[in-house]
Amino acid sequence: MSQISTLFDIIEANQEAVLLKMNENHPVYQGHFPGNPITPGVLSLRMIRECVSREIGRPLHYAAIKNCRYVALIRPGDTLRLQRQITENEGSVTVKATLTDANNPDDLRLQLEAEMR
Amino acid sequence: MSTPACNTNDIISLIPQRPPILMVDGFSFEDEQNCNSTLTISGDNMFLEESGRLAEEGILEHIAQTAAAYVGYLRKQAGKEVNMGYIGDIKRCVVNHPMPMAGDTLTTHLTIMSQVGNITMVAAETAVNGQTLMTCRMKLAN
Amino acid sequence: MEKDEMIKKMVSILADEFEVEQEAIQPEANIKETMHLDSLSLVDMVGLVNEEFGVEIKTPDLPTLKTFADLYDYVYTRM
Repeated sequence: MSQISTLFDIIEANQEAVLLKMNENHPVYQGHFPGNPITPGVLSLRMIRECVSREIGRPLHYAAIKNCRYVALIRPGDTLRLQRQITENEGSVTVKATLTDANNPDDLRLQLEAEMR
Repeated sequence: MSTPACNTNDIISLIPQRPPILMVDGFSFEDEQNCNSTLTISGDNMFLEESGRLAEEGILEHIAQTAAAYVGYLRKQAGKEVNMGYIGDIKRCVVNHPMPMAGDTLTTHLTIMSQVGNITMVAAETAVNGQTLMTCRMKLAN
Repeated sequence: MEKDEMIKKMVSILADEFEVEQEAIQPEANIKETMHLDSLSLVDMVGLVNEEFGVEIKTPDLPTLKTFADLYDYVYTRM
């Protein structure tokens, strides 16, 4: 299993949203950053890719990222709500997604428009 | 202005990231608008997937750390402390699969497009063995 | 490049990048309000002007560029 898979747990997944919890003991926080643990921005992209892959039922990869906008930091232990709009067309999957705080939908962390294959 | 390439020891004086997520092992400053970096993928790189290939997010992190090294280099030259930086956004990113494997060396060229206040916008191109793996625009906020 | 040609190119590039109608980009219109710019997208605008016109907008000059007419003058005199 990839080392990154243990970064987060899926608490709940339904039509409307996926709820995620960041694993505060993950080793990545030792290096990012020493004494000030913050989830690397690229790993938010990874979480979304893993969630969409599960939903589609096969491993997907980014083919293009039109826009990924980081609005606020994600810290260890945070619980997050992923809302996603997924359109599949001939093997190509268009994803529009937002990550917000699980309990406060106004607390936006990230907005993404991307294409996966 | 040009400097010889930095090695891993020098890199950690330019960026705040540390293992297990240190994704640059060589850096050279060409001029205010251009810099280059490298990374040879080790067998224990955290971005390696079950397929044995590096996840595309690992290349994005390598690009982000190259931008961080550019900012860190200029801050050091100016006698300032290296500070933490965060990705502001990623745009126009095109990924060419297949991704590289352990033992492959990434080479990245950054063009600095603009710097406004604490935000640096770069255009990046990462290649392995002369094949372009990724191009993107990225902003780093320090 | 003549100034009206530069303006035409600028309007087309900005409308495309920031997804606004070309008609909204009037000389006396406010840049930030018209294109809904925040601190990140402002950097996009600076990068775009540098890339397309070879003109680097200096950070201290940014607050003086309020309208599109200000931007056209700034870029045209430095091209």
